Order: sequence, then structure tokens, then C-alpha cells
Amino acid sequence: MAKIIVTPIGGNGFIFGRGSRQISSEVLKKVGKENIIIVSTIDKVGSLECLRIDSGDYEVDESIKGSIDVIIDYKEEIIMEVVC
Amino acid sequence: LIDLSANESPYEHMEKEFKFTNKELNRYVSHTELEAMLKELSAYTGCGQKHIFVGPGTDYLIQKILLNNFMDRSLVILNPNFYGFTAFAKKLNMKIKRIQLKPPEFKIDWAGMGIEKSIIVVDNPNNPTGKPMIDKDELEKLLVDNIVIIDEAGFEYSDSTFADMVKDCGNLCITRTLDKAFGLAGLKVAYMLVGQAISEKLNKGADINRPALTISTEAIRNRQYMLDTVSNTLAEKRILSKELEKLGFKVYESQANYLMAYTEVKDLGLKLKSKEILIGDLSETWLRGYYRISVGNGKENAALINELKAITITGTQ
Repeated sequence: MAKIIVTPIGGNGFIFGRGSRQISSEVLKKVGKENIIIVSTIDKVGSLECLRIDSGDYEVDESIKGSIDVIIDYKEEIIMEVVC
Repeated sequence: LIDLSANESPYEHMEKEFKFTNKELNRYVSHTELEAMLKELSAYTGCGQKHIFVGPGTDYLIQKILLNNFMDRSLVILNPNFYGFTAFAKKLNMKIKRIQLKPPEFKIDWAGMGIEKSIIVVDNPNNPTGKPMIDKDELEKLLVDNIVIIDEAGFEYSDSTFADMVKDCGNLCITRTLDKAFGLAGLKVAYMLVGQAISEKLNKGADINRPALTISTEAIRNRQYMLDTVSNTLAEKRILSKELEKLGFKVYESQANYLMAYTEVKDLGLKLKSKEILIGDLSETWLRGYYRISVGNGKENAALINELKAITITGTQ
């Protein structure tokens, strides 16, 4: 199964959409939330209130929103909320 | 220097309050002395002595639990936090999961987190928000297959505790400290109330030194200083909160001896530091514009407000 590895944009926290449009909503729909791997430094993600998505497809955004794990170090993660 | 950054009590002890002498410093702490402290703690907490462990600071006590229970468990902590034991957990090769706190409510949907077979550490009230982070119902559900450590460092200010659950919940641990309300940060003494499943894996030793043990025992026995200073701090907190709000700060309701406040004023922590006033600047490790201000005595709080007035008058740039 395909995986998407992505890092949020510093400052606004977008993972898909807005300043990060390389991956379309069609691709996101096929890959699914369970195959999205988010990585970041704790400095970047810890200063964000939440992660954001605006893929252009309401249903895709809804399927990804909610709690998600972000890898911040070896054997270390932070649970962030994704909002639309 | 006015230090409002570390949540300490601003009230000094009177010298006559403690009877410690330098006698017997050449001897190790005896079991009898430890028993005396456990007896006082038992009366204070309502928990049996077998549930009580004493140590040099909360980090030390939590490390003691991790060392004996880390086998297949992840460590779950909140972000931000101000603990030192996470570095210890990394050395134990534990998996660490943080939960980001976010405005406006700073609440956690524990049921939606899917946490299992973990050691969960929750400070209640939370540092830095001052808010309660978990209720009894949520705690009972987490205890089904997790070890839960509730850090009640602010218990004397919040008057809210889960200590009565310890005798029936083997996986529950409550940590408290004498650093804050008892005004003994310089001694760094903490204790924990632990359920049977945890306590049976721990050695009960006298892990603190004689001066700390002697003074702590006396402080717990004679609690008037603590009660008076907590009352003063709560009164000062109400005044400080109102003054901060008048200056345009968003002040969050707090059950602890500190207030979390939000402001658009840039580099507030640095501006106050240049005036020899220290507050907790959360912009460095968490969200921009958030600050944690320990409630000082009346004089310290007035000095803070005066400096803040001068800073806010010059604008938010």
C-alpha cells in the first residue's frame, strides 16, 4: 500500500492544501488516513495549535480530520488534532 | 529580582518554625524517622502508610515507577510539560507519546485517544494552564489497562484530589510535593500515594536526607503556615487576575498558584526580564503569546503590574 510522508508547514500547520498542493484530494482518497505519516521536529509542531487540511474535497478533509500521530523523534510521537 | 517563573511559594518561613539541629548528621536516616513522616502523611492524605512513598522530588518518584514498570508500556505525557523524567524514559528505550494541549479549552478527549497498555502522566491541575485535565469517570476508564500517574503538585490550591481512589485502584499513583504550598522548594521533597499493583514492585527506603525529612515531617504536622499562605495566594490570585484583565490580557481560570495569560504584546518575557522580573514564557516551548505567571506576594504582584502598565502603554509592537 502506498504511503504519504509529509511535514506540516511551519506557522500555519497545513499538511495538505493551501501552501502544500502537490498531492491532490484524489490521491489522498486512495491512500487513506491510515497511510499518511506525518513527521516534524517538536519545535515546529509543538508551536502549532493544530494541523490543518484544505484539500479542496470536503469529504476527504472530513475523513482526515481528528486526532493524528506526528513522529517527532525516534520512538517519540505527539498527538495533534487536524482541523478543516 | 522578582521570580514569578517557577510556581514557588513567595512566603518565607520563620526560623523558629523548625527544630532541626545538626545532631546525628553523621548517621544515616533511620527507619523510625521515616515511619514518623509516613504517619503524618497518612493522617494528612487519608491513605494507609503502605501506600505512601517519599523521595527527593516528583521526577525521582516517577522515574522509580518507570524503572519498575516500563517493560512493554508506552509513556503518555501532555505537551507542554516541565518534567525531567522524559529523558530518563528515553534511556529506558520507552516509546513516548505526547498530547498537544490547544486553546481555547485545553481539554483532552481521553476516550478518543485510544490509549492502552501505557503509563499516563497527567498533572491535575495542569501546568501551565491551571485547568483540571481529567475527571473521575475518565480516570476509571483509563485505569482498566493503563498505569495512571496523577501529579497533584497543586492540590493544596485546587482542593481537588483522587487520593481516595488509591486503596481500590492498584494501577493509580498520585504524586504530590512540599515544594509549593508548604513553601519547601529548597528541600525538594515529594511523596506519592500508590495502588497495590504499583507499590508491590517498589522498595520502600528513606530516599531523602535527615534535614529534609525532619523539616518536612514538622511542616506536615503543623500545617498552619501552609493553610495561611495558600489562603493568601488564592486571594492574591484573584487580584492579579483582575489586574491582568484590565491590561488587556486573556487570563485563564486557574486552580493552581499561577495564572496562564495570553497577550499580543511581543517579547513580553524579555521585556520583563530586562526589568528584573521573571515569568514563564511559553512561547519558547509551546504557543506564541502565552505566559505562565506564578502568584507572588502583594508587593511582587504590584511590581509586576506596574511594569506591565509601562510596557502596555508603549504599545504592542
